[in-house]
Amino acid sequence: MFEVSIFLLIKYIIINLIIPIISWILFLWIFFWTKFKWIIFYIISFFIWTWVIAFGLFNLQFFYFWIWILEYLFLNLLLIIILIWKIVIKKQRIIDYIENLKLTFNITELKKSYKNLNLVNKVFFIIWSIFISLFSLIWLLFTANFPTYSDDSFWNWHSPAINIYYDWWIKIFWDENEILWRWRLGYPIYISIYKALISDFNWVFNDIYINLWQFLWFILFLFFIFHITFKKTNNLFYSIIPLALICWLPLTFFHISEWYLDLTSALYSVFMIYFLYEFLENNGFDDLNLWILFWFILANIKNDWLVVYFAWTIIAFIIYLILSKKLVYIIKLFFKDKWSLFKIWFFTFYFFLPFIFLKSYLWLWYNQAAWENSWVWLSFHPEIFWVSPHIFLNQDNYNVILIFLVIIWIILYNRGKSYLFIWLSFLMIFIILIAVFLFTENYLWVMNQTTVNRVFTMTFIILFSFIWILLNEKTN
Amino acid sequence: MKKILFIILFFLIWFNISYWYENQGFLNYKEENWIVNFQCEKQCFIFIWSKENNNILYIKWNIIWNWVVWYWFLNWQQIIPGEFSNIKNNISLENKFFFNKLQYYNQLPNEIITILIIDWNLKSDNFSFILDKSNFIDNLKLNFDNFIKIETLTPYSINLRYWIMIWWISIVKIWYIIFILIWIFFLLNKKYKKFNNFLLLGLTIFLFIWFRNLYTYYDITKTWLKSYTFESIDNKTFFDLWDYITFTDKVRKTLYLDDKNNKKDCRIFIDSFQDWPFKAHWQSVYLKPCQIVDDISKAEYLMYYKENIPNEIKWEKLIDFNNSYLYILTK
Repeated sequence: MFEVSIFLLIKYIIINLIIPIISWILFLWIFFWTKFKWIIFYIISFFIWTWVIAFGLFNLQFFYFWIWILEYLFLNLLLIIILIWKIVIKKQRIIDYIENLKLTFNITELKKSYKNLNLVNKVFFIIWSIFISLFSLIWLLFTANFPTYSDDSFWNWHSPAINIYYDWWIKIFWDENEILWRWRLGYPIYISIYKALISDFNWVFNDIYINLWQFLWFILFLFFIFHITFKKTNNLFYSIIPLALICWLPLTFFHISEWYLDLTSALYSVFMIYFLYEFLENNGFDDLNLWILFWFILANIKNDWLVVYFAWTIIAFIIYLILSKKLVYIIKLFFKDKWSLFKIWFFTFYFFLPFIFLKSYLWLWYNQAAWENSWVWLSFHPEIFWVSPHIFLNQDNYNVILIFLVIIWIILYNRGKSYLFIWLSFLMIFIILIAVFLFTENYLWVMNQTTVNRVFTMTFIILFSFIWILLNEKTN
Repeated sequence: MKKILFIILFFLIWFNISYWYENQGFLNYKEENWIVNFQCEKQCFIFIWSKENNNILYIKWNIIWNWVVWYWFLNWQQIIPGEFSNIKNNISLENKFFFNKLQYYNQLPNEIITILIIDWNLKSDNFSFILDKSNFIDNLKLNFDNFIKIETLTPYSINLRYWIMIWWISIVKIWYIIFILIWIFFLLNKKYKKFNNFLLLGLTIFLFIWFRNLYTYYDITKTWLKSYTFESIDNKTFFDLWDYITFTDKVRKTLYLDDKNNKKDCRIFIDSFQDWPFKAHWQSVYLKPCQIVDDISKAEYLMYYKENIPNEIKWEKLIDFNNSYLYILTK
């Protein structure tokens, strides 16, 4: 259970990478085949697929009351049938699908960008690249050797994972006490199901190596951030800045070995915001679908799922639409393309409905992190309006200084740039910051603890991922 | 409850003031030339009569299992808590408690009782304690520690507080102020165009902090690879979980719990010197697929982790590892 070896390390990395690969082609080809190119295609699909596997299995076992690898295969089979249907009945050309597999990550562009950098930028780029590589190596050693420690994540995600693995299903219609303490169904079980699945493919539940998924997923996330920054700025030095900032944050390091799933939530938030931004820029329904898909994934990662993330994204989105006077235009756009509308509803209900049903059936619509069954929908704490300034001014938080430094550097370096979306991001970030503990009874107490540092760190990760918006010359 | 206990103990001492120190709670206690051998069950106290002008509690130990030691002061009205030290197993160490570290130390009267408290079930081997005066080097070290304080990072740090503290101010706050001043300077002085130099300065400082963090993570990972990953099976320790992981692994292997093709249905009774996190881990995860039972009579196996075994148990021993045992019911 705690065995550590190079053989297992390689095996788990491969398994973690292979399981999504088997299905990403099918899934993204079917639904988003015109959207992506090779590397970015894989990265995005990795993040989606780990979730689709987990919740596909969850939904299937909801109908059949059992869960195993066969269902994973069944899910793939279903996708193959849809693909064949698209090719045979809809007469879509398979060549178009294969075309998208071509490697589009142009090395010559990177070389050209490097040559255009001045000496100082070159030096910083090289040093940061070395640092990030060293960090990755230490992360790998750290994650691949760290047994699960007793904390919230142990109870809420690890314990259900091993229960699923040994019992072969999730007993969803047990009494409330069993549900809460054994299966933790009040908490989203995406991570648990995925861990159980990975363990099953490996034929043993290894407490240490199943956490490698988080490591791989963070490395892929860094690639994604590098990719979009380079795509927007075409500058190698600018592209390494967000990675350096994200990797620098001390709590990022500690959260990679799977803790409270705040990091997971932060990274999925980045994907969500990115596709929302893309949708607002291009009005493409694929982007909208992906935004909603990531929103639902995010909503199923942490226990404060629906209200927190629903609230802060929808509010920010509506504010943006009102400010940019696009509200009516977007609503009309929805009804023009009915197929896209269907896809949105599909994502909404295929993955989401069983969990909503279970929550309602088992009467789990309260935040279990709060005391005395504080209701998710109704709890409200006006004290935040006088607590927050106190926190900002008095916390000994060295992450706070970093955010100020970076903002100062960038604002000064880019005077006269467009800040509309960043303003929106700040609004989102502020809302997520207060929302994380807004729905708990002990909000005042929590905000005076060091827990706030953890929340700050996650909001900085979100912000640092979008530095390209400030560095992008085209936004002028 | 503790207060009542201490009031009783206080009066016990009151009638024994002719002794330099008094002890309570020990099963065995032998003292010779300032060296003590004892056996303690649960919680034991050593009352050191007067602090006078002494300001260091100097203790040396060589003990068999991990334990906790701390001290309190007891004046005529109340108990005043001192420092706390968590001591790891099988290590011979010396430790100095500096009373000067305590903010209220100067307010304490000279005639005050110092209580040394030893926690948990353990045996000592040549334990000694001395109340002493600090020398010049001690004072220097103490003042330096007071001047710069670095937050201890552990592999499982999920929240951080201050990172580095200079006197009572976090270095974060100092930088915070400096950079806001620089920012204001640049905003006010619009004619100053050499912004690239400012950016460079910022990035250089940032790089320095980066390197500092990198070293911290390297250090943590190195320590733990050494004590856990690359250590031989019997000597593996994982921070304050100690040898819990190794013992659990031994139990799983002995009972073939990881053999999925040969699923075992077993009932096991567990007892541990400390419920959290050990018992909690076993109960919910690490003894799966075995069932944990609360009654010995219903169990097929008995497991004791750093816990005394009841005398009436006459089961067959399967594992004997660092004061932890696994037994099987003999038929």
